[in-house]
Amino acid sequence: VDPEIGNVEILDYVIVEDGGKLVNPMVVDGQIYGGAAQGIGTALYEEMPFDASGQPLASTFADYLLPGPTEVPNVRILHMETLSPYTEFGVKGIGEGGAIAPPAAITNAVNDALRPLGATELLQSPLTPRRVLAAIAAAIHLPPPQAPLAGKIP
Amino acid sequence: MKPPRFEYERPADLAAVIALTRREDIAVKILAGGQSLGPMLNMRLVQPDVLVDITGIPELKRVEENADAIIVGACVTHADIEDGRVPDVTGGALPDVARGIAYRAVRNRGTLGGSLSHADPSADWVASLAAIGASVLIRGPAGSRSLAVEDFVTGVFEVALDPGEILEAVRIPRLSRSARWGYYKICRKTGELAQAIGAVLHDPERSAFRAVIGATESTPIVFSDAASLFGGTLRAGLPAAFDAGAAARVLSAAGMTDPYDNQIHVVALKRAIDRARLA
Repeated sequence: VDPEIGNVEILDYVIVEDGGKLVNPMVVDGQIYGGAAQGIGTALYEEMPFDASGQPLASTFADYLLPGPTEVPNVRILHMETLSPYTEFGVKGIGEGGAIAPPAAITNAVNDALRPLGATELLQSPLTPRRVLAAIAAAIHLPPPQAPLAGKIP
Repeated sequence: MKPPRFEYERPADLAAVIALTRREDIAVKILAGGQSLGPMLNMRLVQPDVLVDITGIPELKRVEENADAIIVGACVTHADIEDGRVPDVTGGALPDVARGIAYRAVRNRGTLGGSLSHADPSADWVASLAAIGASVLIRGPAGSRSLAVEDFVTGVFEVALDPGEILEAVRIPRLSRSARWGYYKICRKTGELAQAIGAVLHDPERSAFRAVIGATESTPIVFSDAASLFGGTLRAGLPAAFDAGAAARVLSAAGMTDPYDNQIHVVALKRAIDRARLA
């Protein structure tokens, strides 16, 4: 996290899935890469805000940012194959480590990066630079924690 | 989307271009690399009657070098500068700026003159050439004239060209060996137009100390005497203390009051200065 401009750069990304018996491993990896790219978009870039009078503020791809090759890191994919006892060949589902996890994983990583500042946890997506900087600014200006009043639940 | 119907001309000389662009009965747009104009045509943001393609005019690709400067024709591409086909008198500054413009495919066709004439506030050349102290050479029905880049760009997508005038070339001053240059831009996505640009040139041998904050919502903010940002006068070495507060106040006075925008523009300039220090 760049604390002066709020930009977030992904340095490493590992995804482990247990899909049971993988029928076509190449397709599985492709599905996970694509889902991860979409998840990174959700986590850091894609948003459709509206102004006070209901006008959309992101009506072209100039404003609605999609992650490109320079935003998606080299995702490392690892597989476990615990066969399901209930299905033919022991197959299970795949791809959920792609699109569903990134907003949580990336936001948790950013919160971990900002923890030394005492920043309030960010819980919103996308984590735009503006939101990251607002969290940092608020943390730096937070008053020191008050001692609990006698007789009150702290 | 597709552009509306237009006529297309590809003149062989500047006089023919001027004859077309000075006409008041037709709407004319000049086509060089088409990297900005193409999408604008396709989105119907412009609807000219005639597209005048200037890429067939040899003098617009000329490069002349003398003791003080190089004169670069308007149709020289960003790739020409990046690849070193244009002699570099800036100690690597301009090729570095060129290398960071958009994508290589855009750089293969996009031109210096086109970028300046389009005058997108976020364009790299608009900010960097203002910081370097470059000027534009304009040719029109009444003859030729010259303007500093910061005087040529008058607003968002607005330039000081009268009807019939065309940007013919850019004059880039030869920097001293001891000159220091720093350039930094902040983008949300690599290859996209910048959200904030900082540029600084420190060349005491030529009494030049210039700083620019670019990618504002308007014209770049040019400190033609950047010593004011360091609380002092021009000295041989780059001064240690950059007054970020002074830069922030100038930005606020120019209308940039949103704290996030203000902060990233000050940071862009600060990091440009850090790069100049390391040069």
